Amino acid sequence: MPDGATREDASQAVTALYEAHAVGLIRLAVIMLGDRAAAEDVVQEAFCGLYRRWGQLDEPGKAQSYVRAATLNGCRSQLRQRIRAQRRGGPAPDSADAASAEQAALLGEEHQLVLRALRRLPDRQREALVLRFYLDQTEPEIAATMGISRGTVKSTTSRGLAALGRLIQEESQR
Amino acid sequence: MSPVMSTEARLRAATRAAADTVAPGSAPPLRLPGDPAAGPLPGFYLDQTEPEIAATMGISRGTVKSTTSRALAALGRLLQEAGR
Repeated sequence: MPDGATREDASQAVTALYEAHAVGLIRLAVIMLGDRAAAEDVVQEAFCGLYRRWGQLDEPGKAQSYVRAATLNGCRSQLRQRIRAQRRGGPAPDSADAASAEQAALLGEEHQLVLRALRRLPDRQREALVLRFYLDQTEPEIAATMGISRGTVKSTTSRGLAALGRLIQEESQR
Repeated sequence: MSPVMSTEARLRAATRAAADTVAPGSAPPLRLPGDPAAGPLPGFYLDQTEPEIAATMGISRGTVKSTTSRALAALGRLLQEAGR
């Protein structure tokens, strides 16, 4: 947590970054989660994390990749919580209900089908596919964002696409 | 939807459509964590709801929930100890 005089500077800098990038990151989180409120929470938390670490970032350019990585992490733990809740057989967390209701209202059946399948993929495959085909990142960029090698990006993306095709088929037969 | 449409094309279209549900300029204001010296958890004596506490403290709703339940459990243990 920044303190004293640096707190004001940090808060201004982080707020400016938020204003420039929040919508883009909320969009990314909505793709991952299908739930606007949960997406906003994840992004809010990512920027609070940036604020807490502000003095420790060696270059300001890293701030943007920090919040993107923190957003992806936040989405991963949200999805994991949903799966755990489903396994316990308890009621689905509000966010999962909200997700289906929201998507049903805003998106057609075809898109919902694809997004449901996407959310069933392993974390790394889902993230690699979204970075590649939604954010149009190159393989080296994806490698940097995810902290994996370029070779792993290539194989994860192609396995992910094949698995997504199978899950889409499954979802369409439900 | 054409049956020959590739998985990649379907993924591109679906992610774009989901992203488009978030309008430009529609992000809520950022709430940064306040001064830790600002005071205790405002939930119970102010009877705030979880979203209100989240906004007041600049933390997520999930964090409000977990912090509140951990604090209540800890308070229970401390009351027990104090009663001995």
